[in-house]
Amino acid sequence: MGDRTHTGSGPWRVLRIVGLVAALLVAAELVLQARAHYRYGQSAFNMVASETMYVRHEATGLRLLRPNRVFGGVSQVIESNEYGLRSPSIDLTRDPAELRIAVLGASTVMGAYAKSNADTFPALLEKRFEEATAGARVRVINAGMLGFTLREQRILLEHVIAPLQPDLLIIYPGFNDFARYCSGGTEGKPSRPSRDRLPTISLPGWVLTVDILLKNTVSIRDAPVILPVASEAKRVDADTLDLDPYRSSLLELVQSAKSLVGERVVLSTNARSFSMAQDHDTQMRLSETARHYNQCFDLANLHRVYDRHNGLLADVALATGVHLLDSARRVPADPRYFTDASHFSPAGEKLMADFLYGFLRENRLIE
Amino acid sequence: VIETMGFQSLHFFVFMLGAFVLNHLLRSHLGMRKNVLLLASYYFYMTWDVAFAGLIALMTAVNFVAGRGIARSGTITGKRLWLAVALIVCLAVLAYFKYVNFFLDSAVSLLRAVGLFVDVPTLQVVLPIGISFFTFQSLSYTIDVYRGQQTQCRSFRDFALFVSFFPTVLSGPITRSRQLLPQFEQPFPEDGRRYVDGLYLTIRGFIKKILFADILATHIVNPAFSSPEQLSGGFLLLAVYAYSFQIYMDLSGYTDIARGSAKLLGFELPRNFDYPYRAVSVSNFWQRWHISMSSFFRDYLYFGVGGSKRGNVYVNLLITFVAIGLWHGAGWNFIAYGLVHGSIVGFERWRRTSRRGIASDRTGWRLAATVLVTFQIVAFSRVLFRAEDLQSAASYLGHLVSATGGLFPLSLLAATSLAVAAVLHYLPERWIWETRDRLVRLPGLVQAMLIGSLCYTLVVFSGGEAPFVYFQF
Repeated sequence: MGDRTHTGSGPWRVLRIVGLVAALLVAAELVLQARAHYRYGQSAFNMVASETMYVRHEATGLRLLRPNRVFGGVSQVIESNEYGLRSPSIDLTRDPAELRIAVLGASTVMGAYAKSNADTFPALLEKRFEEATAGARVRVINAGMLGFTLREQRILLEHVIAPLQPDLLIIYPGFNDFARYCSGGTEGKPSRPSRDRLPTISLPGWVLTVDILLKNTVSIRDAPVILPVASEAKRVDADTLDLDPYRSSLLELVQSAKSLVGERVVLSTNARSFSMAQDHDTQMRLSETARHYNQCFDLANLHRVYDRHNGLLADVALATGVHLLDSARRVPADPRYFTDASHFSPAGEKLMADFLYGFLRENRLIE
Repeated sequence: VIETMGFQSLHFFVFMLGAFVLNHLLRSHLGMRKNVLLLASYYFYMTWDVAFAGLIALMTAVNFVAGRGIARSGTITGKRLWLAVALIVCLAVLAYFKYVNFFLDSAVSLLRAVGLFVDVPTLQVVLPIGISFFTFQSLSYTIDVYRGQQTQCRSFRDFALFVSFFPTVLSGPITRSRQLLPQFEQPFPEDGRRYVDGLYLTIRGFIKKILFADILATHIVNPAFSSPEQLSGGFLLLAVYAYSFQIYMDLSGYTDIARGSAKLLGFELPRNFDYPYRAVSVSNFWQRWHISMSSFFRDYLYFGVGGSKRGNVYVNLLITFVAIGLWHGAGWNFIAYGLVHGSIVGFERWRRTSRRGIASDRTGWRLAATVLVTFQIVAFSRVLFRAEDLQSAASYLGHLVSATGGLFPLSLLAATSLAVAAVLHYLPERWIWETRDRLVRLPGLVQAMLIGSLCYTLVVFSGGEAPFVYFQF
């Protein structure tokens, strides 16, 4: 690959070509945004109309749904209540005969792929109670929010859920706290000398092109079987992770929950679609999204990260005397129950609701 | 999250576009144009590291003052004194940041070997990005002034721009002051061809980096060097060759982007590679590989210690190649890498002077065999370069020759990437020129569509990050 001077033209030709490339890329992005709007009712167009799906909650700074809206497309409809949750409207004053359950968590609780609010497992749980118990009214509040870490779940609990006076809390923590292991966060990682840098521009979060391209091509970039992933510099050994920050956040959340509802707290482990019992190719396929969001882990280390955190959830449940729902064991690692690595399919939402219903009954948490 | 302004980042695209437009708009205002480029260069470096921009400023000031001192000094002693000041400051800074822990560890090991046990903690030293490059680039000016090969630069701003010039500051090519400083004084070149060439070079650099270097690294080289015990000898052998193409595509890709960016701004940087794996000897390889670095060591160290004129030429060669090895990293494996190459280059020199065969006279299959043998030497010696340390290198080679069974997890993607990299390297250069000329003659919209498709392809294969290998040097 040598080089030689080409007989061509000047800077405006270069600018014209660069401009055309930029126009083509923008056009492709517009098509993707239009598709997203059609299917989910959310896209960059919402920003233009000042009707973004998410807004900052004034009191807490949390990123919640825009209250009392319906965001809908052909694939999914999300209805928000007055608190910015994907949940039916709830009165601050409660009927004495009513029993309130709040399910706290992240996108899995919120129902990342649930077609409507009624298809999320908290809503299905409420439906189970309605079918089974005539007379006593059970309300299940879906307090799951996309992207929430344990810290954000605790803030939501203390500032938004607590005033609703729930009788029972179910915590399904989700995986968002794992992100810091790969995204340059220092918590949980051995310390290294750091560099101060001027801030740089990166693609805004709403750009779909890169995200869609990367999400759908994880397998192309996969390193060979058995072997450590991509760049060694990025590889993180799950066994060396310091889980103390996670434990602290979890303890704070559980203590906060206990101070609100006493011992009536259920702490769940996190289920996932891929397991060591599956053949390697199946694991790789099912874990694609997890590996996309946790790029510093290869498959073996990803299993260890999930297992270590689930082990920690069980330890904390035991140590704090709350109920442990071992969803990781009870929801089979089967693609029928998951849409991706960790979010439930319709069958998974139903299975989870059934498990929860049975668990609450068995443990006499709901009489 | 992209935290730095890597060449693959959106920020670099915006930055480069801004620099390109401003540079063009200010083409009639030479001084203003240089001011903007100087600010842009420091800004660029500070998106990587704010504090060490001060180190670049220090190198700039020391060498500028030393150059002026040498030029104004009436005596050879005075000139030597100024040169010594620049050498001591620059090399001391380089030694501290790059080698202090290596020297401390080696000293501790040596003391332990003679029965003295001392406990020296490892220092938490952050390596300034590009230190090897900007140190040598600035120092070359002072040495050239001392030797009378470069006139004193009278503008501190021009000299500061020369040292910090953003296309070269992170990983070269190490550009001599006589190559770049005069260009700062010249009016803006109106030769429009260079822009298309610049764009082409930049795109070619990205292709080399992402479609070859990164794929080979991810799919063959990193796995092989991480877990040689699990793999078959065949795969480990393939990884040796793959690494040669990975590192070539990585550094030459960077160089292409640097040269392309400079061309877009109206400056010419030197070529850094000349089909290195077509070399007919190891000596010839060093005339083709990382030319700006190897010629630096030739001109400033090899000739400095006597070259073939003073002292023992073979010792001088060994000193030079050990220094080249150490320049790449602080480790005994790099020293061993330098010793191997120094010894072979010395042997080749001895053969030439003994008139026992001149490889360059060969043609046909004998030429091909010579090229093949040279490539084997280069590729296998790079195990020392790629491995973490000497022990890992020995272990890798041990597994390579003794492995029975083991896995051969070669993906179609990696095999294709390696095959295409090899074929491109040995294709007649004329074919590559013709292909490029055909591409740049296509209508603008077609070119834009091709480049747009390429952008998507690069995103798919890059995964968004993977720094250039030479950033660590």
